[in-house]
Amino acid sequence: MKLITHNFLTSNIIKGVKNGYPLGILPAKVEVKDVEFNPAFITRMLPKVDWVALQKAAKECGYGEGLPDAIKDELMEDTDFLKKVHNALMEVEVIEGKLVCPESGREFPINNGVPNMLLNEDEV
Amino acid sequence: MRFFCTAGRGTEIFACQEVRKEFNLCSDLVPKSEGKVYFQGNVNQIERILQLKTVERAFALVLHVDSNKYKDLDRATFLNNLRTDILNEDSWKNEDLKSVIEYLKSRHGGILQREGIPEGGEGPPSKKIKQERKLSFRVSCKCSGVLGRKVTAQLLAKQIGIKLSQLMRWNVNFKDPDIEICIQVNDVHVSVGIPLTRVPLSKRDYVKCHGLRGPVTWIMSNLLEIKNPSVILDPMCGKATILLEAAKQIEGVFCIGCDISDDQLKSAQENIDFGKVHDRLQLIKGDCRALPLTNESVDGIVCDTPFGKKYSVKESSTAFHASLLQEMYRVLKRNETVVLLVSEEMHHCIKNAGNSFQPCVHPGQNQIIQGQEDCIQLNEDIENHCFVLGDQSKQSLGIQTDKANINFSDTLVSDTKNSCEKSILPLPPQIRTYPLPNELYAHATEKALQSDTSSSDLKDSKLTDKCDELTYSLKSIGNCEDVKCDDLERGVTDLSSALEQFKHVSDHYIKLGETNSYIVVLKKP
Repeated sequence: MKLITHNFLTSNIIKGVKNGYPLGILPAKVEVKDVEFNPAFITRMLPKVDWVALQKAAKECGYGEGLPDAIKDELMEDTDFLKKVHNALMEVEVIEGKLVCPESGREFPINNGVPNMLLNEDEV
Repeated sequence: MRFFCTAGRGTEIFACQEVRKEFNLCSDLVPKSEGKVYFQGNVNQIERILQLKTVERAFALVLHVDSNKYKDLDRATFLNNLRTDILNEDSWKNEDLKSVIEYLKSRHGGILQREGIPEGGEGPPSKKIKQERKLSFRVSCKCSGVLGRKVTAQLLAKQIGIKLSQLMRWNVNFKDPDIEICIQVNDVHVSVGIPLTRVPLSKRDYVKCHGLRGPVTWIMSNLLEIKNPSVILDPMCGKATILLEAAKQIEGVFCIGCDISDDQLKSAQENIDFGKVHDRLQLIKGDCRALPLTNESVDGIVCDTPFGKKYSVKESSTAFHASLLQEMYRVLKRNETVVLLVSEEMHHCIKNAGNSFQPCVHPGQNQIIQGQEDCIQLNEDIENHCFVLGDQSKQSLGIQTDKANINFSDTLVSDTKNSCEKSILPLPPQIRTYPLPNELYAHATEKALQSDTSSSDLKDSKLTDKCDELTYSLKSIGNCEDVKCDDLERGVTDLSSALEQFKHVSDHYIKLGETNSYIVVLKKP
């Protein structure tokens, strides 16, 4: 599971959970996979991404260094910054671990890089 | 040099568009017939022809004769003339054809070498021998229709094979020929073509676990009309074949595939690894009726919805589709598109619930006949396989109603009944012809459409009586699912209201194997 995917995930499907975002990450196995850097892609995806959630997720996986708290417009031109974003967003992968709902504490397992978001009967 | 491509029923229009665009040809230069698209090209364009995405197979056309030529002949004369025509020297010794054949031969030889046995010093010399060897070929024949029945396919193939090898000094090789000659005899035409590839172009070489055919996945991905980097979701991705095609063919997409089954996800992962798109396609395990995604988070949705044939779902089809559509609506951004592949029955429900679709009224009559809408659909289908709604709907409907024949619509009403029953009730065959489901469905749709001209048949009291009858019948049969009348009706209304939130953009009929299906494009306003 890449952090870009994590950025879209929520546990609001659980009965009683209002927001369920962002999900916490308890990583057990993290890998970094090489992905070709495409600055245009990053600059255009950034507006779609929740920055705070990304930063938090990156920190939880141990790759949060160098990611500022807020994005200023000038930073979008900075290739080094974009590369760091690219790394966090596209290259860091949680292979084994857990996602945690911020409201209920319910854990969703991640196996072989795929998060299991299926709920039990009573949670729907 | 004439070429032709085969295309699945319904996809011919897309194939035409692609060929015209790729080779810059105007529409009259790209005629099409059922399942085929023809165009003029030259041997240098073969590489590009092989890149076409919407076609099944591509052929070099050797001979094309209208079947009318043979229509009134007796069998012996017909076969004689057929053989003479096919073996016409001029066609085979044509320079353009020769260059195409040479090209195919060299490609075949080349492939053999690459995959070939790496025998030490035998490399260069054997290459030389290969280039000078004779061309090998085999003939296959497909016959259908009245004319086709006069021919024994295998015999014809054999006869042509023998004569052709004498005429052209080629070798016959059944197992691994350089070229294959495909003869097709049917009531429209007799054609002889040489396929440009062994494996159909529609079978994508970057897919490991095949699902939907390449052309269909490509057409669906393209209908999304992605312009900027977009996040595309497939809530029932299965082996992720649609997303794989999008990831491979479209720039700047990031795809999320969701599926409930471990087995499917495993195949999807294999496809991602084989296709090398792990940077553009990610998987999650989840239920499409409860997507773990934030509201308005994705830029496009593409989905092959269950037809109820291969992969079944527990609840009724309408209730399932209602939840699915509701979730799709929730996670999709405004002004963005959903492209769905639906069964004939589901397409019917969509057509009759859409709010941009104006219910038509036949001049001189005040009631809405359920089948009337099908009338229009059928007329338009016949004219062009594509159905576009919107502002023009009222006008085009007006025109169509004049053409519509009242008798025509009667048969359609009963057809509608049958298809509705199939989609709403998972019933055992005995009860199939029971008229109730259609009325329930019509009743629900009528509420949804909020029209003030209503069919006099739909009165509440009559409906409840029939409902009780149905429940009673269902219970007495005993072996059918425990589907209550209320649930049915609710399922249909839920589906209608879920659908109404979308704007119905367009409709495309395609045939998948033996199944009629539709690609439906919806937009969230």
